[in-house]
Amino acid sequence: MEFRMLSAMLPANGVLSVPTGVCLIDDLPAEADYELRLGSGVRCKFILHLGPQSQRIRRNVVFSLLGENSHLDASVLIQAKQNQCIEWRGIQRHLIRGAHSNLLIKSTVCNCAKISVFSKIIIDPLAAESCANFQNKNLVLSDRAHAVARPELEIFSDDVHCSHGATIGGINPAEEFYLRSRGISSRIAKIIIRCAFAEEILYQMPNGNASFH
Amino acid sequence: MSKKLPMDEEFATPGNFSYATEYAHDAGQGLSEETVHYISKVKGEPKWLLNFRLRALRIFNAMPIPSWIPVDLSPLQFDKIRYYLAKGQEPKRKWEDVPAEVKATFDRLGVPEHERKFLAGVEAQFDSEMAYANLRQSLAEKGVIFVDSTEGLLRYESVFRPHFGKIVAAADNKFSALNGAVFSGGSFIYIPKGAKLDQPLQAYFRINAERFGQFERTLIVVDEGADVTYLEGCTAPRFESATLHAAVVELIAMPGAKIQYITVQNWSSNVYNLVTKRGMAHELAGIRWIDCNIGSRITMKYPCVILAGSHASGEMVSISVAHHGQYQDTGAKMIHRANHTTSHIVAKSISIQDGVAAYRGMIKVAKAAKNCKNYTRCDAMLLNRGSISKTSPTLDVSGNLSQVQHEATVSRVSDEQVFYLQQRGLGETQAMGLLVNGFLNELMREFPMEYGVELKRLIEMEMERR
Repeated sequence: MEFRMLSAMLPANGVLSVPTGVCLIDDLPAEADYELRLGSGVRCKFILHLGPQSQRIRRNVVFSLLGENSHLDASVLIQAKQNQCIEWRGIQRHLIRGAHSNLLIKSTVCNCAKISVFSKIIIDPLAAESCANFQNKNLVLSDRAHAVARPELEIFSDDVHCSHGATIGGINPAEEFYLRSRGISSRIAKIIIRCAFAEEILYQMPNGNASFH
Repeated sequence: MSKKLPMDEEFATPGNFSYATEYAHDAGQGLSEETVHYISKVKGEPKWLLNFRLRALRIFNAMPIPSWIPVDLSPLQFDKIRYYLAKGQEPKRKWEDVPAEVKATFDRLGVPEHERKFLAGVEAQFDSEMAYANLRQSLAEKGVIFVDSTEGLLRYESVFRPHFGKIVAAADNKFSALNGAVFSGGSFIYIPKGAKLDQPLQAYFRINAERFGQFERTLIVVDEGADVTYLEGCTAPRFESATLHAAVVELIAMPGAKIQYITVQNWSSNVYNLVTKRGMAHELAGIRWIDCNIGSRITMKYPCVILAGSHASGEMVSISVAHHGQYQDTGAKMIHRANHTTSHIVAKSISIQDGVAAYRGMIKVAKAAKNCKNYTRCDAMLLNRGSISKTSPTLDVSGNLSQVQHEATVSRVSDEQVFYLQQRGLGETQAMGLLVNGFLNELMREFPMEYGVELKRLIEMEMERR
């Protein structure tokens, strides 16, 4: 299915009923709270890049799947450096049967930056046959960086398939060694690994919005 | 033709009985300084211990109930609970010397039989005090100490006082403060350097009286290079009124020591089980919590390991079963404070009918700790339409040299698997029981065989009630 890229639709605060077939790009300023509602049969994508906006960034997003067979694929890339403080709070709320939601959050944290990723999946008692997944991967790149992850689940229906996973760690020494054994310096090897880590989400962004922060 | 499992009421609720008995010491209902003075006087405690209790009482009175608690604790009427009830006995060394109704209680629960078959030492607590305490002579000669809290602090003060209240301070939380004020019974254990016990030590806690709170305090100190396995079991009869169990467990594993602490909790459905358990592992030491929660009305328990020395390890294996009306809020905390420390958590939960099974965890890697590793896995199974599962882990990592991983899944019993077993002639209940036991099997193997078998039967009984 083809998705139309739309960046102008999102409110900084408030609620948006999402039409089907769109890929929403969040290019809002540093702080924003909003809710996205997906009706019956709506399929949409969501992409967010946090990092270039400001020193302190906060996003509070609720994804409400209100219609049967609604489908959401959301990707968030967080790149924090220097003394930045970035906080993400997200809720995937399944209120009706047959909905699917996938949320992937990848973050890189350098220098003295700090990130907090709080995310919750809530499955209502009426939301049988729901499928919800959440993945959070955090790459910490300096000894003074700090990452906090809190993935939560609240499941009130038995006929569901839900999973979440979170990892926090540094660059794999074996991967760095592999590149260095090919004649690449340590500094460039780390940049290559960082780029590869972020690429999964960056390549989804249209040209002009993709910037390696 | 499929056979239904026998519904033996007595087996289904093995602890649901009580005997009328008289108590020589009764602190009365409610909690005040007079209660604390009474307990301290009956035990003949020194001044420092009385002051510890009074300070804990002041902290308890000053602290509010934490706002994050997800359940309603209002049925717990602190002014109606009896905080100390004892028959006035010294713990006996032979079962024949234990008072008749107390012995009948523990005979019925199988405790003397277990001691004969496979234990190195046993303590059996009846309400506030130990009724029976015995340690194999060979271990006593090696310098192993296995006594209750009163004897530990009075007779072995130099051994236990330096560690008492250091891992779980009275001000840690409201219920550790309550325990600090009125604790009684529990196990104080010291394992000397290099001693390896090839059989476990066990304590069994039994609530007999209605509206009674049990506040045992356990302190296990394992010296360098030694190891110990400790088992604790607990039951109570089912009364209408709410009962409180607020225990504190402190473990200290000195360099190279290993502690394995196994709990099978099967309190009756009126018990509020609010427990603080924490261990400190020094260099090259290991602490392993193996926790099974089947009973109680509400359980809130988060065993913790502070990894304070390099190459220390912490492990948690947890099974919880939340049936109708139960709220099992369990989890684990691992605090990495030194380099090259590792921790591993596996938690499996089952929710039946409208039971709530929640996992709450914390993994913290301090800034100074390098090359630490953690892996956490939580799996939840929901058996009925109204069953509820919650997961709330927190990963807090400083620095780029450590690796922390967490994963969780929630699922139900597959209809295809049930159908497959029914095709082979099993009834639906048997099939569900088999699949649930299969889900828990890898963790049940961590328990001693006798407990593993008992656990399987208890879970099958829970499935009968589904």
